[in-house]
Amino acid sequence: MTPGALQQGAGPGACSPEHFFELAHRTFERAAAAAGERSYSLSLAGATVRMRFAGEALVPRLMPALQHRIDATARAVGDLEVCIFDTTTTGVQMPPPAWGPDAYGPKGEIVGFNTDRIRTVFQPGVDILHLFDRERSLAVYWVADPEHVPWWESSFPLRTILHWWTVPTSLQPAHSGAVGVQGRGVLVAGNSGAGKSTSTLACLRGGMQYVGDDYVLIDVDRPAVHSLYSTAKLEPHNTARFPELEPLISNPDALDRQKALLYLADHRPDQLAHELEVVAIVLPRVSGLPDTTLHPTSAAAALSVLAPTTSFHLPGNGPEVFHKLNRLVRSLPCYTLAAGTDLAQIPERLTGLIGELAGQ
Amino acid sequence: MSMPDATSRFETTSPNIVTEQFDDEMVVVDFDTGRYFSLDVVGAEIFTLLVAHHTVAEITALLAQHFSDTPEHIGAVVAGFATELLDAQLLIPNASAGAGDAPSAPFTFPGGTMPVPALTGYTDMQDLLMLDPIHDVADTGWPARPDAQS
Repeated sequence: MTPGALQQGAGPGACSPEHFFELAHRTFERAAAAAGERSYSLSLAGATVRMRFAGEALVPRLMPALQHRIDATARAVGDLEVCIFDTTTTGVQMPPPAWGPDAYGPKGEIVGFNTDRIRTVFQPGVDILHLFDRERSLAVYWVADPEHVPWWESSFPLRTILHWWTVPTSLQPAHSGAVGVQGRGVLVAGNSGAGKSTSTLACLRGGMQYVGDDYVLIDVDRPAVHSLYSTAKLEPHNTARFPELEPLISNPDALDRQKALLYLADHRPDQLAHELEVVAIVLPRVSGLPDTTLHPTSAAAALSVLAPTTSFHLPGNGPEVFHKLNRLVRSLPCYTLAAGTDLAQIPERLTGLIGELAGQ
Repeated sequence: MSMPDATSRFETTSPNIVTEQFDDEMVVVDFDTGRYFSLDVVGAEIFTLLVAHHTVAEITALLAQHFSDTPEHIGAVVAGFATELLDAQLLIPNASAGAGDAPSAPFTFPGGTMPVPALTGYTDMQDLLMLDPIHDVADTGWPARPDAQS
């Protein structure tokens, strides 16, 4: 199929999901030829993710969060290949969408362009096109202008594509933090405002291993947790509780409209753990009391926290996510962490819990 | 919504409603609406029987063998809970459904007075399913950014 023939297929109602994917992929190759290519290989959970950038513009927006997973020894052919480009700096325009304005569904899923093989998401307002071909483990990531990439995308880049890629496996990107000691750790799961970031950063301060504070990659069957992103995020009003982190904030001039974003690979590389065995799930809640306490809770409570917040943030395959996380919560003890104002107690309690569980 | 007829049969509203039963709680997620629910053990039992095409009258008869309350009281509780499930859009009537199979396992909850079944709904994820309407498209055919429209 020639690029010309593909181009003719663009426009509402004009082509199949497979055809549009091919069109987008060929367009990436033209962008890479025009602007030059940079590529990186990441090692994730024993697999290689090959990131191919057309031009340089998106590298500083997507790679800092992933830099701790770069593996110079990884093979050049990835288990997943992601082709990333923009139009403004490469000069290569993405063909027009093959769907009309009424096709944009919840979470940006394009009606008629999500099949067992092809996934297609473009969320208006976020303006990033995600495409995935399951048969080839090949993804395309496009944004018209790098300046349009929202700040939060830099904190968890490619989570949508990683979600699609892991659907048939026991792996699942999940909305959770994770911390540990000596290779064993706990998931710290909660909705926004529950105290997830505060708890994980208190553990960072306490010298614990850090896997992530927002999105981590869980192997639900081992169970284990893999670090996806080296980032930490803090509400601006919460930065005063972590004065040692304030000099590390990457976006100090934007805190009136963004959370404080830190790249810990630059500043705490020794505490960043690539993988931990998971021994428990912890659900934080802010107690308002000085002391921090742990209380056993049910697997149902853990599922009610982990599954909705993960599956509703990620497009598609919600029931599969639910069933994976159900397997996970049933295999682990679950606790409520009543996080107190004396932050030093949080790592003390969690270190003690991990030690107790490891000794059983 | 008014009380369902005691002989009506039901089904789940969508195949995208997923349930998981734990010892003393059922978690239900509706992937179409973004809502999720917790049902206590009695509520979970009634919900399970309703989606297995048992009528309110049939469930009342089953529960009346287990609890000491009058069948009239149990019937009112079951009908009220079915109404809650209908209001939550977890159930819809299914006029063509046949009779449900007999429950495969005996009730595990204690006997005595029937507790009021509990359905707790959560809506904090619904905003994530809100559609961003397309107001305009750019010359490229892609949705125009809101800040580029003025």
